[in-house]
Amino acid sequence: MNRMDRALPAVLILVLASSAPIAALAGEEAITLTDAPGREVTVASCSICHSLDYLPMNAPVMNRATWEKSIHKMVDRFGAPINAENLQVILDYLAQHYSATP
Amino acid sequence: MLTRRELLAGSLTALLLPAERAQSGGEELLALQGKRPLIKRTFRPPNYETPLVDLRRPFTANDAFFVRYHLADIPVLDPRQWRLRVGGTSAARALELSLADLKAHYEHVSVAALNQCAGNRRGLFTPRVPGVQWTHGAMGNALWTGVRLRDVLRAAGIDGSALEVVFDGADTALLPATPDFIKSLPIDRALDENTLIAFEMNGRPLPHWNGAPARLVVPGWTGTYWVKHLTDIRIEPKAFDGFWMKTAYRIPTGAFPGVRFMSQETAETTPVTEIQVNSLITSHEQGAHLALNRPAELSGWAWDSGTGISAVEISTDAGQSWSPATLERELGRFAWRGFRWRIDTRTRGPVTVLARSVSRSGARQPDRLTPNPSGYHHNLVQSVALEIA
Repeated sequence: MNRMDRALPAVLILVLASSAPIAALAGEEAITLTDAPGREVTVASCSICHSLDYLPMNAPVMNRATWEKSIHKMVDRFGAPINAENLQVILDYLAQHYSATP
Repeated sequence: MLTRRELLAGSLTALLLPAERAQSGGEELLALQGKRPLIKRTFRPPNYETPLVDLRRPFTANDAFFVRYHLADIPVLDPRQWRLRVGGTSAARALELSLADLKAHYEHVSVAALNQCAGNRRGLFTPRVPGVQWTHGAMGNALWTGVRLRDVLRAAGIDGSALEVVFDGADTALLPATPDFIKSLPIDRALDENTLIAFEMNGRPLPHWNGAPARLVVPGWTGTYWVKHLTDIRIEPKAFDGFWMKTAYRIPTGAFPGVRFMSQETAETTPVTEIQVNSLITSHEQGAHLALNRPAELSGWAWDSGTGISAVEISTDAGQSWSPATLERELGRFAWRGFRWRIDTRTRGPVTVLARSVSRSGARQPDRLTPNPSGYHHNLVQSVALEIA
């Protein structure tokens, strides 16, 4: 154990212990999306199946039409539980904040 | 200002990955458990590519080998509990094999082979296409050891109706409605002597992130068929109709050379199959500086689907003239083959080096990309800009 570990607050140790089996995934919690209307629904829906880095990674390639196609693929092909209302919220958010062209 | 959540997450990351966050050419390097720091494309499912510096050895180190998953529920399998089920409509009997059975009852064979993701270099496509934005490192070369798939299939008994062999691994989706990652091979490829159920990579047990305890190895074919954490093999008389065959990993019919997967082909699209002729300069990063009048050598790898590499050609005049590079000895026809070429450093200034490989079948790297919606088979002639000063 190094000095850093000994200095670890109890709460962190707990969090650390509970996340140990998925240690490989550590780090995705640090991803923050642009703070704007629609962020909460987008984070809640997309992060069910995948980390949010997929969004900025693809942003330079995307626009409203390609995001619409992509979200429909998530719902129709991959079974993402996103209702029509939330689909629209996510689409508006991604088209505005994660697109090369709106 | 950091929120409490961000602060917590930041601290956690630092603690879980002590001194393993790094930068390389503006890329974020992160270490998965058991791996050295690799270029992180996505956390979950984990997609990590090998940096150029780790692609310089003839056999890519196990802890540097790229990681590619489609689905995020990836169990760590106990090799003593693991079982491989073999059967299907066109099999005479069902088998259930432990790792010990597999190792004890079938001949062990080793094949040196390049494993390359069909989407390697997708991030270099123009115009750009969606998907994991790989650059050069969704590939690696390894010595794979295991048993021949055909020996196991024959033990199960293959009847005349067999058309495809279907493979499933232990990794699954988080939602039941998401299609499981299941792939099929045409029966002739499944019976090819080089197709293996591998349990070792470079003389060591497969790393978890590369498919432990056993994975499919399909030399010459793109990585999508190399199913990891193999659990089920079915010999079937019909074309498998799952999402990952019928919808994903497809290219326009007739757009690329390579063997055709006829039972899966339609008039419009066909599955991506064999690796295309390709090469990569590994000795120098883009924009590298070379000392004037100091001897310097360019080197890298060339590969194809297994016919072998007959030449690598270098141009420093934008492709007007080409001169042959020196080829290293072959590591096996499915492996990459080394090449080197002495760089003329007598003239100060910029020099752009082009490298293209030629296979024994006569295929040559193209100077124009074949567009396809998912960005597969990027094998454009590579161009590296150097500065002699």
